[in-house]
Amino acid sequence: MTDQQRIDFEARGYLILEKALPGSELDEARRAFDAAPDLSELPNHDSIFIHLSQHAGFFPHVHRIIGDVVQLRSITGSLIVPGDSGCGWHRATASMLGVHHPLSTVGVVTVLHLDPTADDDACVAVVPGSHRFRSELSIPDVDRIEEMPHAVRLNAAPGTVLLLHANIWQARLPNATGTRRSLTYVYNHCWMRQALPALQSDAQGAIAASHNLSQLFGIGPDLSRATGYWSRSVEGYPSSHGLPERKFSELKVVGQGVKPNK
Amino acid sequence: MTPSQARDQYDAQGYVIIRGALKSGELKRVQDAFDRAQENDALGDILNQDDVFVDMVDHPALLPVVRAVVGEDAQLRYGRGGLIKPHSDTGSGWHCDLSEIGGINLPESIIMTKLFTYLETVPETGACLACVPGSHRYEMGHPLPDLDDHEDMPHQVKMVAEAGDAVLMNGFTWHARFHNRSDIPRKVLEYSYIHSWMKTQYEFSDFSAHVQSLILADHNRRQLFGVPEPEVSDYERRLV
Repeated sequence: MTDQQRIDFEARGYLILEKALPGSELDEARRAFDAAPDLSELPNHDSIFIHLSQHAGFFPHVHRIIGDVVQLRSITGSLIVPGDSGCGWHRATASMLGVHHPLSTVGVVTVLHLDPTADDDACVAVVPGSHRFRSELSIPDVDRIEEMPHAVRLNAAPGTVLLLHANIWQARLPNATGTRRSLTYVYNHCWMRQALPALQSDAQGAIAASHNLSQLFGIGPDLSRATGYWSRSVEGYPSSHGLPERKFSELKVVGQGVKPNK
Repeated sequence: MTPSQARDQYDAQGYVIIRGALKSGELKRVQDAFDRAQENDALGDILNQDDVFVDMVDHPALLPVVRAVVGEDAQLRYGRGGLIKPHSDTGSGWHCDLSEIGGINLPESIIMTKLFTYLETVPETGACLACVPGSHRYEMGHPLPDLDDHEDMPHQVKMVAEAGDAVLMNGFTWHARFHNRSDIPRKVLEYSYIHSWMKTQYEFSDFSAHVQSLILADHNRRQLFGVPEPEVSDYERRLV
C-alpha cells in the first residue's frame, strides 16, 4: 500500500484497486463461480476461493489496514440479476456494540468484481468519509438509493477490487440490465468471531497446509479460540498494527520489584 | 447502587466496586465449592466444578452491572478461580490487558471487562488489585512509567475488599495485583466478559454434559456461553 493509498483510505473509507485480478485468474474465478452450487459455501466448492483470500492484488492492502492479526470473517458470492432492486444504505457495523467505530477499524469489506458495473447496474455506492461519522448520526431517510447526498458510485471493471471500511455508509444500486457476479471477502481481527461455512475435509486440508490460510480461516486448536489471540501474525508481510496507526507503550509491565520492567 | 450508577462510576474511573455482592449463606456455599476445586487442582476449570460457578455467570447482583457496562450482547470470555498464598511475591506488576490489541479506539470503547469476586478479605497488605482511576481514557500509547515497585505508581487506588465484594474493571485500565504480604490467602473468582461478536477462550464442548444442560436451558446463558444461534448474527445477539 502506498502512502497515498493509505491517506485515501483513511480519509475516504474506501480504495479502488483496478486490475487487481489479472485476466487469466478472472476467467478461473468466473468458471469456479458458475460451477458453484451454493454461493454461501464457496470454500467447499473450489480451492480457488480459498487462495483468493490472500491474493497479491489486494491482500497486502487488507493486511496493512487490519494488521498482522487479520483473519476472514466471511466469503460470499453474489449473482445480481436484471431487475434487482439493490441494497439500501447501511453500515455493516451498525448492530455491533462496544466499539467507538469512527476511530476504529473492525473490518474491511472486499468486493471482487467478476463483471463490469455501471451507474445503474448493481454499482456499489458509498458516502466518502462516513466511516468517521459518529454512530449516533442517523442515515438520511431517503426513498431511493440514488438520493443519498454526497454519495459516490464506485463503478468497476472486471478484475477491480473495492476495499471498504466496515463502518462506511454503503449501498448497492438497482440493476437494470445484465447479470453481475462478484465475490465479497470480509476481513476482521483474529479475536473476533467468524461467519464462514463449516469447512469440509478437502478445504481444511488446503488451508492447513499454509500458516497464513490457517490464520485467515481460523482453523487449528490454537487459532479457533481466543488464547493468545491478541498477538497472532500472518507471515511474509511487513509488520502492521493496522489503521488508524496507533502507538504502544514501550514498557508493558512495570513495578513488580522482584522482576525487571519489560 | 443501581446498574446505571455503576456504569457511571465505571465510565469515569475504569472500574467499579460492588460491595456485598455475595451474602453470607451464598458466600459460604461459593467458598466451600472454591476450596473443593482448589483441592482438586481445578481452579482453571472452575465452571465444571460446581453449579454455583455457573450461577455466578448470571448472578442477580452482578449480571445487571455487567449488562449496563458491556451491553446487551455480553458474553463470557472465560471463568476461573485464583489463589494467591500468604506472604508471596507474586504481584503482577502494572500493566494494561489490552496493550497488544489493534484496530479499536480503546479510550472510547469497551471491549473486555473483568469481574473479580473476592471470597476472602483482601487487606491493605494483601494481594490487592489496584487501578489508576481514569487510565482507561488515556490516549493510546500513553507510556507506562518506568517505576520499580507497585507502590510507586502515582494516583493509584488499592481495592481493599471484604469477602463477597466484587470489582468490575475495564481491560484498558492500568492495573496491578500487589504482592501478598498478609496472612490471608487471596481467593478470587475471575470472570471476563466480552461481546458476542468476539471469540471466547473455551468451546462449549469443554463443559460437562451436566453444565451444558444448565446452559442450554436458558436464552441468556446460551448467549453468555457463546452457544451459536444459527438464525442470529453474532453482531445482533441480545440478552432478554
